[in-house]
Amino acid sequence: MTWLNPIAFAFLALIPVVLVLHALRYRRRDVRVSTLFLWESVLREAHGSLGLQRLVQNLPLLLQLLLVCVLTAVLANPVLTKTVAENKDIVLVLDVSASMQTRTPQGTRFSQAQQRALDLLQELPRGRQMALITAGRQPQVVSFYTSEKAVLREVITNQQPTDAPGNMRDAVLLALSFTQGSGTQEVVIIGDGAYGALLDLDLQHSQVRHIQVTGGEKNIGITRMALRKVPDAPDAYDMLIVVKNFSAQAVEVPLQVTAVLRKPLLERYLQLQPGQEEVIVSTLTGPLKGIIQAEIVIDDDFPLDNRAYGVVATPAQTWVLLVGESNYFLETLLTSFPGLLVNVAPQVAEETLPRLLEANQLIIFNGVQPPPLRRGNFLLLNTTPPDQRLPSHGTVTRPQVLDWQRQQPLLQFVELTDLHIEEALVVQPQAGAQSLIDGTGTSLLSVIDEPRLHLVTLAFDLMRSDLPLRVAFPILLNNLLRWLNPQQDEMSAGYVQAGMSHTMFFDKPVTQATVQDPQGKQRDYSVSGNPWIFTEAQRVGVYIVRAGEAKHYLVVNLLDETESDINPANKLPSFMPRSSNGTPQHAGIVETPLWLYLLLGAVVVLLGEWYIWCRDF
Amino acid sequence: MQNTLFDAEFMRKLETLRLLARKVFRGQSQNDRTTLRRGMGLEFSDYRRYHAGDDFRYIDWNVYSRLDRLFLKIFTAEEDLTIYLLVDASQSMQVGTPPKLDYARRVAAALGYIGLNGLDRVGAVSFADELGRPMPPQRGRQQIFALFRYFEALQCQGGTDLNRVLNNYARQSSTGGLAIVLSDLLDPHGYSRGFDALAYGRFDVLVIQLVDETEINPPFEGALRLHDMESAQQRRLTVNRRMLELYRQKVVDYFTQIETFCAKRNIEYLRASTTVPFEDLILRYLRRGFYLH
Repeated sequence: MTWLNPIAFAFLALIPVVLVLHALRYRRRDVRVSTLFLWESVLREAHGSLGLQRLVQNLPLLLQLLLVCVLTAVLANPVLTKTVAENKDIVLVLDVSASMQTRTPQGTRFSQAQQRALDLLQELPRGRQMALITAGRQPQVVSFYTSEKAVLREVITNQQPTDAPGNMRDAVLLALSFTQGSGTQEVVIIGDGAYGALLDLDLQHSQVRHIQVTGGEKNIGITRMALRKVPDAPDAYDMLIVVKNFSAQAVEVPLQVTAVLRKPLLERYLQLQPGQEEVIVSTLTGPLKGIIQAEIVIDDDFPLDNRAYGVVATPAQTWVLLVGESNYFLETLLTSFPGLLVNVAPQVAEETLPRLLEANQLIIFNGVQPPPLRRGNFLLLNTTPPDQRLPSHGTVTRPQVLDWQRQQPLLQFVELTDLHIEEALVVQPQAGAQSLIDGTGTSLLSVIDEPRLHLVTLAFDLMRSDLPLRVAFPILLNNLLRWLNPQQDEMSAGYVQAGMSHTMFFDKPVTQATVQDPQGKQRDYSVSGNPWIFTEAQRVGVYIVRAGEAKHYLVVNLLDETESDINPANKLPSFMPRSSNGTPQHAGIVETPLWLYLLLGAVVVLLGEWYIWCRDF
Repeated sequence: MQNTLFDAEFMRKLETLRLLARKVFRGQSQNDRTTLRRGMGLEFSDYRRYHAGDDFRYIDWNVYSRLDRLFLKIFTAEEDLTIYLLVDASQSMQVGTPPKLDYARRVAAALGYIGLNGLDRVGAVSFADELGRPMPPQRGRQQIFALFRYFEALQCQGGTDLNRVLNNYARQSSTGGLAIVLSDLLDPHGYSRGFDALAYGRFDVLVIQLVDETEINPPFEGALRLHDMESAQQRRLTVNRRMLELYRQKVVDYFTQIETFCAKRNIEYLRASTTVPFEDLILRYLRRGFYLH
């Protein structure tokens, strides 16, 4: 044991002070009594013996002296020291994916992982540091390198498993970037091993240690759920549910599908062999609206995937006016969107525009010059508006995509790398307009976003680029349509996997939205733009977003087969290459501080003193 | 002479009382108390044959006329009773309001007055750890003032040693009688051998234990240094409610122990608190216990 602050022993000088104070304070009153023998028998009975009685009489003083000693010891900061072979900084990667909620006889896998992390922290040698990265859907640096064990302990204790699939691969890559290949730093992964994507990383030359937590073996989960309106059939919805048995035993499990008011829509008993997957396709009919819940009624080790949610929302019909040249790809795509009806016109005069705006929620100008646009929703392809905010000067040949705003809702999930464009208009957005895709010498996509005017300009001809042949095309157009033509219905809905962000469009400008989470807790958010990206859909269930008069259901599911498969994964190997630079590894010294225990002892002594004072011993 | 122990009216009430002894004693002078001796009393006891030298006046001539034999009538001799008043004058007797010794001497004086007024012999002695100067048993109402003076002169001093004192007194006393012990009985050495000496001797024993209320319910609490009034011993202790309750229980147990002891030895026992007016003790409690009539 080592005393880190031995100068604190000077506080022992308080002992004579306590003795003097005690002597001054503790004056006994003299009383004359007829006889003492009755009192002595009382004392014998009360305290067993006179020696014990003397001890009890002096107990307050003894406790005060003990208190001084213990507090002095606390200030002297004693530590238990232990020598350990490992003497490295640690980047701890803690798995917080949904599968860590698996129940085991020793608690959840996550509580086991937390305990392992705390044990690891306890063994961290003196002078060494630890950083903590959580491996949820997005790796997150919770704590950078620090040697403050109390801080790290608090950080580790405060972590909770999410309902989202994990991304251990990115988390490990992030952790490796911390170590810089140093032999005195290692990455320690604590998780359940349900992350196969890690295997393709070349970890042979990295300091990576894997601590696997296990437990829990029985799980039957819903791995897919989808609802789709039957075309041309009012009040009819196709429903797809996939249930899989991840256990080693065959099970019979009841599946229930209920509507929002617990109205049973479907009840079925499923016989599932080990590893078997059952696909249930059913058509739900009737005036359905709102939340649909699918549940398998079973008590297994991973209850998170026993429920999945869907929502039935009546999509509004949207009329789109396509003005200008015919475009096969564009028309085909537009007509494939559910609830979208397309009108075609070769040209639009300025005086007819107001009437057309009443009949159409969106007007697309494809290669034709539009009249002045002051209100409405417009998509301009290979043309620019007569607006000084988006001036156009000639063309540019084979422009390259330099950068695009990936976080912008219009470009969410849009991959534009190596996009080929034969020719594009030179557009230079001015104040009031914004460029979202920057190309060489031009803005390939520009927007004007005003309360009454939503305008998007794509500065090239679709037929003179390979964009219609790329996956990005339907995604971009879908984003454009959602942004330009927000849902008109009072109730809209969205689906998202836990941990994913969700983009919401509001038909009227709002500054605040209230979100009710699956537990019923409400929280207000300030809305800075339209669309608004909601990033806190971390829990499985239904979020209800209210903004003004609009009500938006956000259904959050796990629906991840990898997370649902809680079977013990193959143990990942640890990689501990010898220090490449030949630097000898010195043994580390682990210090276990004892001051907290001593402080607890001091509190106990203080309570004893207080008790004696109350009892007036 | 002015009597400071009690007033004249109380003395008049005492004149109507007589002390009772349960044993029958051999007296020294003729009186109206029945004794073991046959003699010149008024109460017929038995017959016996006439022997030469007997007093002719006690021959029953009626029997002689019927049986033609001489029989002598025997009468029970009626003699006086000797009352011994043993008063504890140890240091512990100065406790209380009034002090227990004051209470004891007034009770003793009253009982002595009753005895002298009933033509019994009354003696007195104070004791602590040794016997004090005794006042020998005397008879006659004129002795009352000497008795009062004796009690008024008593002073508290010394410790208590009941066993030794009572033992000595029983051995020294030539004649038996009614021994009335007035004491607080707070003696760490005990009391049993002393009372045994009296009870197995020629004494009918009446023990009047005098207790002050502060000895039953101590009026103190907290950190104390207790001084024994008799032994100069002291004990440091912190008295709390629990200890007070324990003390009260100990006191009750001690009193019960004395009571049981006296009952087994056929010793009359009366516990009196100094809060009870001593007139009540004499006129009510002692009469109720048939020690007086």
